[in-house]
Amino acid sequence: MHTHGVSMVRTILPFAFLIACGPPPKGVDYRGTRLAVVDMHLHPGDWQQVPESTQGYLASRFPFPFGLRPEQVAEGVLTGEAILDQLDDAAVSAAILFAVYAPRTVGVATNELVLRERRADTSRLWGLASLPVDRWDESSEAALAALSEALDNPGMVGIKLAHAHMHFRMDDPAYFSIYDMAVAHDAPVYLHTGTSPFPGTRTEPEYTDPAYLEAAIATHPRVQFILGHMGYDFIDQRPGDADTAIDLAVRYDNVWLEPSALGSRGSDPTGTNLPLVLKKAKTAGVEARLIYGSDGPQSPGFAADYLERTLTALEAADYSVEEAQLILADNASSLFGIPTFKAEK
Amino acid sequence: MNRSICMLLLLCGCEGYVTVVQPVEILGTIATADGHDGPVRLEVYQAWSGDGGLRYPMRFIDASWVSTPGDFTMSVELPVEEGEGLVLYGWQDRDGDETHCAPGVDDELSGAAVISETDVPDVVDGDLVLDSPCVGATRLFP
Amino acid sequence: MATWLLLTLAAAAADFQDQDKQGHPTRAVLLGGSGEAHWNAGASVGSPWTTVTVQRGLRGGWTPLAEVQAASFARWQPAVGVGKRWIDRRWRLTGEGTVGWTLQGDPIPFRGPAAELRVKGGRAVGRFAPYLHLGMRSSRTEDRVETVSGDILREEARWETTLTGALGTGFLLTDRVGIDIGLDLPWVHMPNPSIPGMHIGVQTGWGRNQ
Repeated sequence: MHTHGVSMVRTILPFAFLIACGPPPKGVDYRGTRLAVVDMHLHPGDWQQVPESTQGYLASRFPFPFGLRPEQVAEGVLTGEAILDQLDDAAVSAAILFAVYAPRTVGVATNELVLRERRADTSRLWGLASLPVDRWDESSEAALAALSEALDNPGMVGIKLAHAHMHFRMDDPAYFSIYDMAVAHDAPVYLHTGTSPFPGTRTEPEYTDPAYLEAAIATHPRVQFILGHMGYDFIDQRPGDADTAIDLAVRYDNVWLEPSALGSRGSDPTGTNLPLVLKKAKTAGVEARLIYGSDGPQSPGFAADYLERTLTALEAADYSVEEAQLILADNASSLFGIPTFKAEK
Repeated sequence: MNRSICMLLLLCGCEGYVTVVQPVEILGTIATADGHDGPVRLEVYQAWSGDGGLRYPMRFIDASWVSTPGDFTMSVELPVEEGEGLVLYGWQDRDGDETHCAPGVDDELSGAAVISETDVPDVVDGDLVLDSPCVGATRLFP
Repeated sequence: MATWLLLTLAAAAADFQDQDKQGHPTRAVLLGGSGEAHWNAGASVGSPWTTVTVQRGLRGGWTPLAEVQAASFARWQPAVGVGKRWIDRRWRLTGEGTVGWTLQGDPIPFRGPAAELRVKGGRAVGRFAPYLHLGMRSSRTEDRVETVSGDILREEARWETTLTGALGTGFLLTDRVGIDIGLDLPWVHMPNPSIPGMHIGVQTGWGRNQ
């Protein structure tokens, strides 16, 4: 969510939708073909459930004057309705909303909140459930039961984990019961990999490096693991552990790669890292296991902007139309068992 | 008049972020269950932080390296408005890679000691035993 | 009817080019520099900026001023300063310098001294007074770590640099009252991005009219 070094004009551009007339037809043009888009990574939330330190961090990165009253901006982008507006502006057909239990860093968005915000349009929004992992030895039973109950809801199509935010090791088998739950519910598991710019996140490799997930991946072949951010180093703004993430996808059929946020204006100021990791994935032969997500809404216009940057990067990495359609929508549909979407003319 | 001056000074003060801390001196001993030598990564946490739905245990404060198990001293500043209590956590780096149990390594012991879950005196004793291989800090909080 | 309207506007335009009218409050506030012994005041409301300015003309084009600027009523910038008319013919160019304070609360607390240098330029075009403001503002505060008893352990200065700017036009309603509409284009706390704002304002004045 970095915005340093962005020129005034480039910052203002995403807000042009404010004066545009009506949402565009769903879909994007890619190499002369209309393609549908599903954004598998969006965050609904409640500003009051974000820790003060993170509120300050976010406010300092909002364009002025939004940072002066950030709660108003947050309320304007974090609800289901607001996310639908962002999807409309980005011409995105559908999205997956994430529950998050990370009180140390980005805060808490409960499973109940995700299901509530999903009601804004249940034909376009689904959710990933999550669970608190603190005091695991004594609370795991209750946490897993609550997760199971959430996954019983047809609107919840997977599980979201973020070890760096939730402060638990990627390789600790004590938490593998979460993957057992994923098997029981046939639920893909999304995992944040790589470092994070948010205050309070763990930066050590056992919390960020996808290599530490190999034990879980190898012992749970029926679980589909989605490596969020592809191990990107958001602190130093470099590909970080992207090679490791790609290598896991090469060696394990149940590993997917999701390059969200790493190509944003703030996290990839030069615009070179997203095309680079996409090229690496294509060279490694795992281009068909990429899945599109933005990590929005962040700020007004972000979802559309990130999609535009992703299309540019796909083009630069020479992805075919068929590959792009898999990445932008079809992989999400098959992985999460949601409908297949078609682009509108 | 005095009140007016105070108001003026308050208005014209030069103040950004203010962090209120309690300096704490930790005097303690580190022991490993198998008596192995080697540097120990020592981490200090507040036991609890946050309110309501954002309340959580083990708020990371600071870390340093101790050359070998035995006596140690460490000075920390606890941000008292953001959390309470004091917990020590440590792990021993046996292979010198400065990483706790990298893939393939399963013998680097860790341990935690809850010094207090509420108020913390300015000088505390903290004895830490490392006896759990490859366990992260938060899972060792009871 | 149309001819009458054009003649009336032309006469008015010519009238407002008169030297006496160069001291009009709208020109004084927007282009800078009040006429000698003139008091002028301006106020504008907008999103996000709201501004109140009072200034008085002295001999030689010097103009002391006091102002308060507020952004979203969450960031306040009171200041006093002085302006000097450098060029005052059909085109007017004025330099202004202010010192004051920047006051902003959570979640990005900032309270500390500030200084700003700016130029105001524009010209009289009939009843209109198109203007451009450009400037630079710097503010400083102290982040600190202190003990429960108030002893300061560490202080670290934090600076904020802002490029200020505005573009718009005034319109002279009467001899003593005018209005303006403009875009506010400050780049607050570079390099963080800023979104442009808009405002409408009113200006008035009193005092010796020459």
